[in-house]
Amino acid sequence: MTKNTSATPNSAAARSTFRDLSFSKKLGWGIALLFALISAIWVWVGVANLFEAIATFGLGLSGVSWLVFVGSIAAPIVTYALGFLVGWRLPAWAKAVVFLVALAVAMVIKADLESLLLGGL
Amino acid sequence: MTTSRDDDALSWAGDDDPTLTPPIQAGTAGAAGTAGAEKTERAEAPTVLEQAELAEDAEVEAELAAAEKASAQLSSAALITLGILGGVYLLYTIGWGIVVARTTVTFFPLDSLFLEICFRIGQFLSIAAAPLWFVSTLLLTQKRTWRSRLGWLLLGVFVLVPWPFIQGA
Repeated sequence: MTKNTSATPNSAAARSTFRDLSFSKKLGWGIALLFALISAIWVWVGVANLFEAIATFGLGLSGVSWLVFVGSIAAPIVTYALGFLVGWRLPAWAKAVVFLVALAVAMVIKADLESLLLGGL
Repeated sequence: MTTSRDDDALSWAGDDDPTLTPPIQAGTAGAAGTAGAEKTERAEAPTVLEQAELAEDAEVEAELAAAEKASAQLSSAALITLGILGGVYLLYTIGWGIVVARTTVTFFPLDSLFLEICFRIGQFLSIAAAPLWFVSTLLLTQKRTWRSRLGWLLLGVFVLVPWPFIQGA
C-alpha cells in the first residue's frame, strides 16, 4: 500500500547498478526488503482494522480513535524509515539488528496508542 | 675530508671502517669501492635502513597507542551510568511483561489465525524491545564516542516507556 509505493523509487534507483554491488551490499538490500515486507504486514493489518472499524461504526469515530488507527498504520512505516536511515552506512548484520529494533519500537508505539483507548474502558 | 668541525661532532672516529657497515650495504659499498668522501657523507645522513627502522618504530608506537586507547576501561562514572540505565531497561522489560500478561481485552478482534499470530509476535516484540534496544546500542556504538552511546541509550529510555503499565498502575 503506502509502504510499497514509497519503497519503489528506492529499489528502482538501485536496480540500474544492482549487479555491480558487492555481495554484502546486496545482502543489505535483501535485509531491507525482508523487513519492508514484515513491516508491510502490520501496515496492512492496521489498514484492515481501520476499514473494519469504519464499516462497523461509520465515519463518526472519536478523535482519539482516529489517532490510534492512523498511528497504528504510520508507526511501522516511520520506524522502518528511521531504521533505514540509521542503518544506511552499517554492515548487513547491523542493518538486520537495527530493523529488528525498529520493528519492536513500532510494536511498543502501537501498544502505547491502543492503551489510550483500552485504558479508558 | 670534506667534513667540517661541526659535522665531526656528530660522527665517531672509525665510522669509515668498512667492516662496520651493515651487511645489506656492504655489498654495494664493496662492489663500488668508492672514495672515502662519499662514505662519510652517507654515514652522517640517516641510511635507508635507519629510516626504515625509525618508520617501523613510529608505526609500532602509533599502533600501541591506538590499542591502549581502544582497550581503555570505562571511567567509574560511566560504569555507574551504564548500570543505572541497564536497571531502567530491566524495569521497562518487566513493565511490558506485566502489560502483556494482564491483557485480556484486545483492541481489535482476532478473527483469524493470521491475525492471532501477528498479535502474539507484536506482544513478544513489545516485551523484547527494551533489552533489544539496550544490547544493540551497546553492540553498534562500540567504536563511537561515549556521548553518542549515552545519547542513544537515553533516547531508548524516552521511547520505550511502558505507558500502558503506568496508566494501569
